[in-house]
Amino acid sequence: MKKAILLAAVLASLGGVQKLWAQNRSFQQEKIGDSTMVTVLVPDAIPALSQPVFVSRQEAEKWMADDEPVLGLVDPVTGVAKAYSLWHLDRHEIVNDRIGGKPIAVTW
Amino acid sequence: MAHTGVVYTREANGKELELRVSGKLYKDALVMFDRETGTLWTQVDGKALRGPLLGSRLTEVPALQTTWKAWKKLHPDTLVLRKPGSLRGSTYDGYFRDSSKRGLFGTQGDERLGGKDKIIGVREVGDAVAVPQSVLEKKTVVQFLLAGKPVVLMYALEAETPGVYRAVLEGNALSFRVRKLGGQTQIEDIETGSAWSPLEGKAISGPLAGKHLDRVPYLYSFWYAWSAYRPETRVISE
Repeated sequence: MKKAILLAAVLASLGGVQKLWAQNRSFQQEKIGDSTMVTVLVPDAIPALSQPVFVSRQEAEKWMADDEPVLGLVDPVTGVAKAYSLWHLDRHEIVNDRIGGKPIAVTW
Repeated sequence: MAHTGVVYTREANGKELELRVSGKLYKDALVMFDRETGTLWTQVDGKALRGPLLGSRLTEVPALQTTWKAWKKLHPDTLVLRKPGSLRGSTYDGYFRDSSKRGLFGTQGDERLGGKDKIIGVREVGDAVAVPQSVLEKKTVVQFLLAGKPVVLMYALEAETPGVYRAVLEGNALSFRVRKLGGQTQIEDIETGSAWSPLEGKAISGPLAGKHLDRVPYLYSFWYAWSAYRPETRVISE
């Protein structure tokens, strides 16, 4: 877990990664199609959310900022609207959720 | 990293998938994997890169990227993904502001636009169109054909975000224009003169009042990522 946090911190500091990249070209690389896939972290070092919990707007007002960027979705069946803070998605990159009975993934 | 939110139906071959973060980058953008088969998927394109589901593609779901303020005005009863307190800002803030940094490995977009120019990208099989945000901000309405079908981008000034729609209502194509009324900018269709809300894609007055346009999935992305994944993209400029 500690290692994962450290790796995530390294990823967040892009300058750091670029330096690491210059110093020792140890990232695993793999040619796919016309480009290269590069491994910078172990799988799940950034934890996707798979049991998302939702709260009411009133509850969310305690910690949402007006200028906070969100991704918004409306369930085509029930009309229920859902907002996902991009500042929060930044920490997870993927939320596995459901809308209109369909499995969806919100990705950032 | 490519500054792009995309929503996908996480199903392939009729099978539900749980998507997770692989720790890999392709063209400097997130690669996901599914827990069920281990297939790797690109986040920008929803395409299987390798693994048992190679050849499959995830379907996009239309979503709106805007501010909390604008969203709750549209949907006062919205639910909100719970988060641990008031996280502010992005871990990538420095990166987003530095125009020289294009992903970790300096993926180059083609030269038609600057690598860190923000674009609104839409695509269908066989076609892709990018509209620079700066062009949409200036023109408010940008309309074009995507794979032969009319699409309209409307800029919502108050939310600083685009609404992207099929410019078709009940089988009839609509054309949109901007009218200045006093200090206000209003978007209306030429066919009926109805006024439209750019965030909702809804006619707010005139003969079509109450009608909705269908949303089109779009990517709000840096040019470098869009053009690296979609080199054949057309660009709508001035």
